[in-house]
Amino acid sequence: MEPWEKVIVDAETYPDSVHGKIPCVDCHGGVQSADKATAHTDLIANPSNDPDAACGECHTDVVPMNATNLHTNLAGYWTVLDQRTAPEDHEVISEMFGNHCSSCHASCGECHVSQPNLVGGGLIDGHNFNATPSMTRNCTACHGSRVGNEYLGKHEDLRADVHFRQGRMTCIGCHTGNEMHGQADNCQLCHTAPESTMPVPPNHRYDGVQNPRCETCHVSAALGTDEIEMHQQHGGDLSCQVCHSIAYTSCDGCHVAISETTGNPFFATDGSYLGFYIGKNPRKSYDRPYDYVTLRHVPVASDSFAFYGEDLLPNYHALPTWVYTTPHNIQRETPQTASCNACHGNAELFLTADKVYPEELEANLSVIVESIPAPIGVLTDTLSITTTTTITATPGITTTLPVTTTTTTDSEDSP
Amino acid sequence: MRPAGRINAVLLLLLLLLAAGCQTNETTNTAVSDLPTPTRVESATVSAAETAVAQAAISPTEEAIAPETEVMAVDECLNCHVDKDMLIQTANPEEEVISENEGEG
Repeated sequence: MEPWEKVIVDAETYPDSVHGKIPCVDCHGGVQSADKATAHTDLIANPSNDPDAACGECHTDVVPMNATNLHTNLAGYWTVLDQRTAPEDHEVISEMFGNHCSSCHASCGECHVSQPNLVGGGLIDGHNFNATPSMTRNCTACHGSRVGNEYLGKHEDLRADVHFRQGRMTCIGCHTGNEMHGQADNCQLCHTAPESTMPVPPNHRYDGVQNPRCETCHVSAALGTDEIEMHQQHGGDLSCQVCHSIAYTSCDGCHVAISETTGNPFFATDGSYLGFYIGKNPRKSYDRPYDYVTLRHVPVASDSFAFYGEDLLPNYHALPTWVYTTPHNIQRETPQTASCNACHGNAELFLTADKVYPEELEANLSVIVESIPAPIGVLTDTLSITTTTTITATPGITTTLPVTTTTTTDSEDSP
Repeated sequence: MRPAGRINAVLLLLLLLLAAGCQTNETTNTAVSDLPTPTRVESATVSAAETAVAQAAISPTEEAIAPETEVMAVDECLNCHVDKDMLIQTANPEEEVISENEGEG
């Protein structure tokens, strides 16, 4: 945006709006003056950085919940940082966090009035307050490299998510305002049998009750009543994305530092790539009972914070580097839905040990698939095959050892 | 003449004098039929006139107070922030930000 575009107010619509009736200085500070320098004395560019003061008087249903809003508290970052770092390094980790991670914080205004500061800020609609944030100028402005690109089909040869491509749904279609504000949509979202106690606020995007949840709309799939055999067979065993997602972005090795020339913080990742990986569920719970889920590699390396000190991730292996993910590139038909054996017996789709960096094997033991599900068929039969292996131990002397292999195959395919 | 008779005579004389005074006043007034027909005056004019008279009566030596009119407060903020040309003229010099980031964020 041009500098003037970022601060221009719509003279036609804004003064007549609810917020337009409030004097500018009441929220932004400053002084009423025709002189710019005088007017901008003690100016508050982003009043909603203090939502209690700026928004709380009127929006009493939203602001009190702000403490549990992940966009505000960035609790998910600290959930993993606390597990990988040592308490004695908390101060330097906090410094690192402030320089490199806290920019993901989004205030009320960065969703409802302006573009996020992360992407340069600027008023979106002449200072009018939009109850529904813009998908492209707010949501995917930050959630762009993975969610935005996947959902909007910006990867070559990969189609956009069907909810966008055919459903023309924006983010708010699944991610409600209540979710964004740190509230539950309804009582039943938290109070579900048998866990009837009020859960603590989620400290991770994949913590607590699933929200949104595919089954909320796709009820027949959840109940197995849609006559799709795979839904009947795998309901509850597999996350929906295992069958209905396609290749998505993973990243390697993000390293952060402060520039010696400019003094600005910056990051550098070792690389990004597209792929599809099914692994064991690292966050298995009542709310996420799946055995297998899609996994994405996160760009954390043991020396990611080396600029700030040595060995700042002493518990690097405490968490997997291949993490639970819900790619936003859902398709009705994918390579996985072609047939049962599209997955069964297809090691290419699974996160096996050979696909994990050696230095990360220990961290990912809980998600690596040791044994690929065998190919299956309509009927099963037991066929014994005896093979003979000849071992030559000493020149001139031959020893023969019988080896028996038992294979279960479909009777129709039996030779 | 007895004293009561004298008193009565005096009272009668006084009454006659009073009646003459009233008659004199009446003869000085214009006959009703000769009064001009009063015209209907608009209430606003009347009220404004009454207001002006009342105000003059209160402080006849002071200047007449102008009726209060609603004055719109000038919002200097909006005066500038709705004007594209003004914003361009007063914009701070744009600093080129060189991103040193590498890879996906």
